Amino acid sequence: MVSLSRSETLQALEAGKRRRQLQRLLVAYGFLLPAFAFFLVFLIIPLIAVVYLSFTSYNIVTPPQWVGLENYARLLQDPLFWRGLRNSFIYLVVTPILIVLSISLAIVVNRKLRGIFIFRTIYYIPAVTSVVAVGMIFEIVFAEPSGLINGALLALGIINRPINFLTHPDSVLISIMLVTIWRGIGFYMVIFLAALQAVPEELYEAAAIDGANRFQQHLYITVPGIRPSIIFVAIISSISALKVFEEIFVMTNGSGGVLDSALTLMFYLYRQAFVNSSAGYASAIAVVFTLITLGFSIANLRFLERGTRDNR
Amino acid sequence: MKRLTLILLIVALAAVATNVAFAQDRPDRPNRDTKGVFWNPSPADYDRWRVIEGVEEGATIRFWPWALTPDFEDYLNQVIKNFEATYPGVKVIMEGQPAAGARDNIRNSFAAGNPADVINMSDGWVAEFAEAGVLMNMDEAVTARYPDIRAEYVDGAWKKVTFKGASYHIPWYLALSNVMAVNTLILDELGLTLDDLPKTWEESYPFAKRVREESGGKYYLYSFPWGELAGLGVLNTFVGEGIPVYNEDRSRVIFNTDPRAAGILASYKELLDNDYIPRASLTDDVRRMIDRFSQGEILLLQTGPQLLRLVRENNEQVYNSLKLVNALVGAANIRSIGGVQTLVIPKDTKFPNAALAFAIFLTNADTQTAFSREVPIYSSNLKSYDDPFFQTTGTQLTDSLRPLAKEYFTTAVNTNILSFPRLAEVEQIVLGEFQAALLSVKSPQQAVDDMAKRINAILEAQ
Repeated sequence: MVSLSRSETLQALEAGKRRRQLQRLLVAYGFLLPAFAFFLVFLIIPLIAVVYLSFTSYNIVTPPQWVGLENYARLLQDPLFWRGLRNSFIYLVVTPILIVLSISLAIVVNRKLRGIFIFRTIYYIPAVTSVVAVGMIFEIVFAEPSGLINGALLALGIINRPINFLTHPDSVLISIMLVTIWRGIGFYMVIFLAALQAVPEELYEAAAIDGANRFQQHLYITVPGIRPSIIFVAIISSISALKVFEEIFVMTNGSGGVLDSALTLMFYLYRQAFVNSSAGYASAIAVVFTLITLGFSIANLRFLERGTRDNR
Repeated sequence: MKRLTLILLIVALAAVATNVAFAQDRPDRPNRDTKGVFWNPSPADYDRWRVIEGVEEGATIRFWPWALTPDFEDYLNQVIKNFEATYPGVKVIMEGQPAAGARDNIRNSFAAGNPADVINMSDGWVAEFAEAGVLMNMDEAVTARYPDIRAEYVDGAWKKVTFKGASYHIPWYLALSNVMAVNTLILDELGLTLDDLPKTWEESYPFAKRVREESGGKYYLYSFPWGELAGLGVLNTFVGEGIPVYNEDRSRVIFNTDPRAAGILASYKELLDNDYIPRASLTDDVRRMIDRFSQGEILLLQTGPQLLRLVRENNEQVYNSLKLVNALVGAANIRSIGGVQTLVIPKDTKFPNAALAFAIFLTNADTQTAFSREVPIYSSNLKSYDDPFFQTTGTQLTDSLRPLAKEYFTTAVNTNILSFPRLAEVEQIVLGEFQAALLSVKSPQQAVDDMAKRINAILEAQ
């Protein structure tokens, strides 16, 4: 029988440890690999391709041709690009409205009442309804002169001319924003509901003893208590607002609204790429849009996190 | 187990037998002539149909019909069967494209370098691919090599889309655009007759006011699908009124120099401002215009007769009350070629002659006549109209139009509107300026001036 010296034993143990570490590492990377391959193929490569295409003239059908910064120079002089950018930022108005409404709704349904789950389900239904179906429903709601709203208001004598929800350039974007709010409330309500249920009940009881009314209780207990969720919702809903497309496409029959009044940057990107076959130019819009969204999200995060720190 | 196998076998055989019988004789296709040359061809017919030379032996070509499968799959399968018997050794693989997304599929197939050899597309899409230089020039492939075959086609349809003067498509089936449908329920309610209806656009404007007033605001005379068709529709209206769109060498548009162009926009604005047409015309597409008509909101429907089936699906009562009359015309009494379904062949196809042979076969007189018997569409091949079928009427509403088709297609003109470079952008320019005039953002004259200026910038950039 061969006996090992102490140093040899230690070396063997060290080697075994390294082997196990390596195995663990390989297993970890092995698990990460499929997800990484997926991201590489469907995110990183397309991202690099879009950056490359933004410097080309590309009609999708024939190979791209290098044009340098031409597309970016064109962007600066394109009034529709600026209109799209402006409308995209106007669309951000839906974010605070969504937060306030969905928190309010979450507070309302966060009660221990018989059958409350039915209301929660009903409010969540718009979030899981196809946008095409939603578009068709709201076309009936907004139709003129005899849509649901116009018909009712005319019949009640509240208005004497129908409201031009979708045929007046000043109201198209607002009408579509209402649809986005309607669709989003239920979804964000569920997030806030989960957060609300983590706020200790005793805090409300203590506040009530101290004489705080319901509004003050929510302002000083609920809002700080669910702040992480508010930050999360603010970021994801503002990104969603910036990249809104489906609602606009469906509600304007793919036109962007009368006089391009509902044209957002994302919609303009689609029009350039798939209607005008200017995929190179559309890629330049995409690059600028991505940078704007990234910058906006970082600023948003910093701003809201600073608020959290200040409150500590 | 044996019994189960036997039952399954019987069911499968029954299904095959039913399908075969159904393919030959379908109750929903009352005009199908199962004894005619198309469904029962003889060797002599194959010889007659074999007109293209140098067809590549052993070629396998791919064919992309658009929005025709599965509805017309049995018809298309018979086309392929006849073609393969006419050109033995050539095989056709049919890959039906859905109505939505087909344009993107075609683009992507070119980008990937594997487009089908024969592609069916709407006339409005051809310019994009012709401009990109990826399509076979049909004036070189057909007009120069087979002038007799070229002469068989409706001229306006052959030239519906041109790029630098050449055609890059073969016209397939056509739509009649010289008729409109009248809801006689509304007509009767208003105490009017078909003779009272306006004949021209000019006459229609005061008539729109009359219908609105006499019905107490209940009905409109017509509505428009401006959300979808304003771009090209406005320019076609200019042509119909005798306003020259282009200068002589077609290097510039000059419609704005004719005061009638701004006058047309002013008339539309008056209709809109006074609620003589539904305000939703600004955003409606064709489908919504048809829905509006089906709901009994409007008296006249200007659309191709092939779309009247949608009225029947929506409201049988309105459909049963329909009468078809001549469509409204402009002052120049010009009748323009309506929608043209086309066939294009990629320039770099491996089998140019086989692909061309199939496109010509699909559009020959016998094949297209058989298609017209399936559905109320019209042949782009003038020889089809020699078939007695086109001299007879039938029991269907649209059957009454058949005897009128030949005269219409031989005299209808091509307005050259689809031949603009960067067509989609031109369409957006016209739509934007048109809406600016109608919504009082600009005066009608300013709108047509800006329209012309912006289109000319595109033409000059070519």
